[in-house]
Formats: sequence, C-alpha cells, structure tokens
Amino acid sequence: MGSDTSQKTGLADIPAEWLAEFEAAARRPLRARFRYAFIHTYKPVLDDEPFRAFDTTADYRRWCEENLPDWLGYGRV
Amino acid sequence: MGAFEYRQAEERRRHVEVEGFFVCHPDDIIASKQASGRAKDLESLPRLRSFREYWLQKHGRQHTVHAHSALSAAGAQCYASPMAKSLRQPGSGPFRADQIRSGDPYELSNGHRISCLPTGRRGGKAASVGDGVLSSDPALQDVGVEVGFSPSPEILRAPDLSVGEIPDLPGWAHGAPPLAVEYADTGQDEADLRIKIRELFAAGTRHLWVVRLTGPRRVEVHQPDREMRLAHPGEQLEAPGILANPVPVEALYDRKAARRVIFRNLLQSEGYVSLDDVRAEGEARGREEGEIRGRAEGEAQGLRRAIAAVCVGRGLAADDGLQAALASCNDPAVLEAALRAAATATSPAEILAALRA
Repeated sequence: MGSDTSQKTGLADIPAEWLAEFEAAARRPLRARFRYAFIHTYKPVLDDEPFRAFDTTADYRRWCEENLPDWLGYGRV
Repeated sequence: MGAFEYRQAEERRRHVEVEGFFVCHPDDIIASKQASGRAKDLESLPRLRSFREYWLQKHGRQHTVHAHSALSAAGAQCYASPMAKSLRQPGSGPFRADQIRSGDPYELSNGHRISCLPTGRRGGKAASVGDGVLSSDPALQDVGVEVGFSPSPEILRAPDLSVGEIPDLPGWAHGAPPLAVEYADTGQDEADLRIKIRELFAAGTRHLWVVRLTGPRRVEVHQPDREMRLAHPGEQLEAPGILANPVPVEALYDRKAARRVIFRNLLQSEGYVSLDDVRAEGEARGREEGEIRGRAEGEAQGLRRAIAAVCVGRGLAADDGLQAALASCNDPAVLEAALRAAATATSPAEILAALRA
C-alpha cells in the first residue's frame, strides 16, 4: 500500500477542530454529505473553458503547471 | 497483468462501501495524492491522514490489516474466479438476504455486500463441464449452479456448483450444500474466497473443491478442520455419502474426460458396471431371441411339409392359391388347424379356408 504508513498519527494528534468536523460529518446523512461535497468554487483559467481533453494524466499535469496560477496549487512541489 | 492494471485491481479490491456506494480506501486516496506531488494535494495530506486515523478508530484497524493481507495474497497468486470482488468491513453490515433479489450481482458476508461479476469464458465452460459430471452421479440428489444459500439473514453465498438437496422452489436455499465447487481463474479475490469457505463450512458444508484454472490445473480439496490438500490430474476426488463415484480431477474442467465419467455414471444408474456388461447382456438376449425365432420357424416349416404330404397322400392337388397361403403363414397354431382340415378336407378350398380363418 502507499508510503503514507510511515507518517502515522494518533487521535490525540488530530486538531480538535478537525476532529469536531469529522464527527459532524459522520452524523450527516449521505445525501447531505454529497450535497456539501460538490460546492463549486471558481478557479481562474481552469474553469474558463467548458472542458479540455488530454491524452494522458502527465499531459494534463503539464498543462496545469504551464497555464494555471501557482497559488491554485496544481503545480508540482 | 501490467503493473498499472494490477494496482487498479488492488484498489478495487480494497474499496470501502458507504451506505451502498463504493469509495476508494483512504490509504489509496492518500497514496494517490502523495504520488501526484502537487502543492494542493500535499497540503491536504495532514487533514486526510487525520481523517484516516479517525476513520480507523471508528471502523477498527482490522480493515486495514485485512486489506494488507488480501494484497499479499493477491500479490503471491493472481488467481481469479467467476465470482466475488470485495473486501469486508469489520462488524456487521446493514444488508440481509431477503433484500437481495435473484439476479442481483451480490453475495452477502456478515451483512456486507460482495459484488459478483459475470463468469469469464474459461470459468463458465469449466463449470458447465463439472455440472455435467456431478449431475450424472448415481447417488446424486441435486446439483445447483450459483444457487444462493442463506444459512442466516446476514449471509448469502452462491457456490459455482452446489451438490445436495436443493428444493424445487423459488428463493434462497437454507443452510449450505454438503459439497460445493468453486472455479478460480485470473482475478480471483483470494481473501474473499477464504472467507466464503469459512462461512460455508460454518454453515455445514463438508467438502469444498476449488478448481484452479490458472497455471497447472489442480483442485484444492478443503474439508473442515483438515489441512487443504492439492489434487492433480490423474487423481480422484471423493465425497462419501454425497457422490457414489470418485471424480477424476480433469473431469471437472475437461469435456472429453467428463464425457467418459458421465457415460460410466449413466450406465451405473441403469444397473450396468461397464459398456462390456451392456454388450454381454445384448448378446445373450439376441441368442435367446434367435433360438425362439428359430424354433417357431422350424415348427412352421414342419407343419407346411406335413400339410403338403397329407394333400399328396389324399390326392388333393395343392393349387397356387393354397401354396402361396401356406408359404406366407408362419403361425404354428394356424398351420396346425390347416393340417387338421387337410386330414378330412374334400377339396383344397377347405384347407385354404382354415388357413384364412
């Protein structure tokens, strides 16, 4: 499985605010969770065309790095 | 299978079911975001890892342990089966057998749905071959193909072939079949297969054969509380009290081998040991019938000669009509009546009348 297992956290390490959010989300019915999951936030350049198609994920990522503002976070670190 | 496809298969196997929806396992989401190397994905990782920890606390670590063991098994042996793709969540799931309809692509394990894909070409053919062989056993009660057995409301399992008493009724069968056969081809979910075997044994199955269609053909012979053993082509499988005859390993997947076994079984059902037994009985019956026919023909011929001799002795000329009637009559009783008539007849017409009476 992924290499994330090297960075384990315990419940005590989770910020209280996040924990409260997780608990609140768990109490919501699935329908509400779906509704909250798809709130659209406008992203400049990315959302300026109805769609774009790429042959590979690598092509898509290259396009993101070359065309999107850095602060959107689509570039590789 | 390529590395990418293999990873995808692993991820599918590891999915989590949330109120009936299939969702990526959190570990896979984390791994994917980590691999992307993008700022926005890396920024989300701390929160995602925290959520993973929270989720594991809620749902138990067993899930992850289980997922890892499933992966190890899949990595070691990439087998496949006609059925079953999923991984169990710990604890009881919300589903019950009476919520699953015939034709729904699911089995149930501890209340969790196990999605079942259509059978592949090789698996489907082999299962049909095995069905024919098992169905022909003289001691057989019934064979079912993918019959759903529900020993308890939260379990519904459908072996590829099930042997035992299967009532001719709609709906799921109760309990578990005494003998179950599973066909495993590429893509087999080994973890689920192990769970399925355990559940069937717990419900009363006494013999479970897993026919492996990848690599060298072989059959895994499972029995409760016994070590699994491998049976190879040339060996025989036995299910005492369920099947009268041993089943050669290859007859469970090879149609030619299956036909030989089916032929033997059908002969036995009719009371014959072998084809030679049938031939010997046919020859004996033929001889007996030949003798009877020969005796009757000899008797008729003797009576015809006697009638002709009486006619000559008494000066009665046998005309063409009488000769033709005599030649065509094979019934000794009629010829005997004609012989009595010849003894007193004043003309050939009286003998002819006796022949036509």
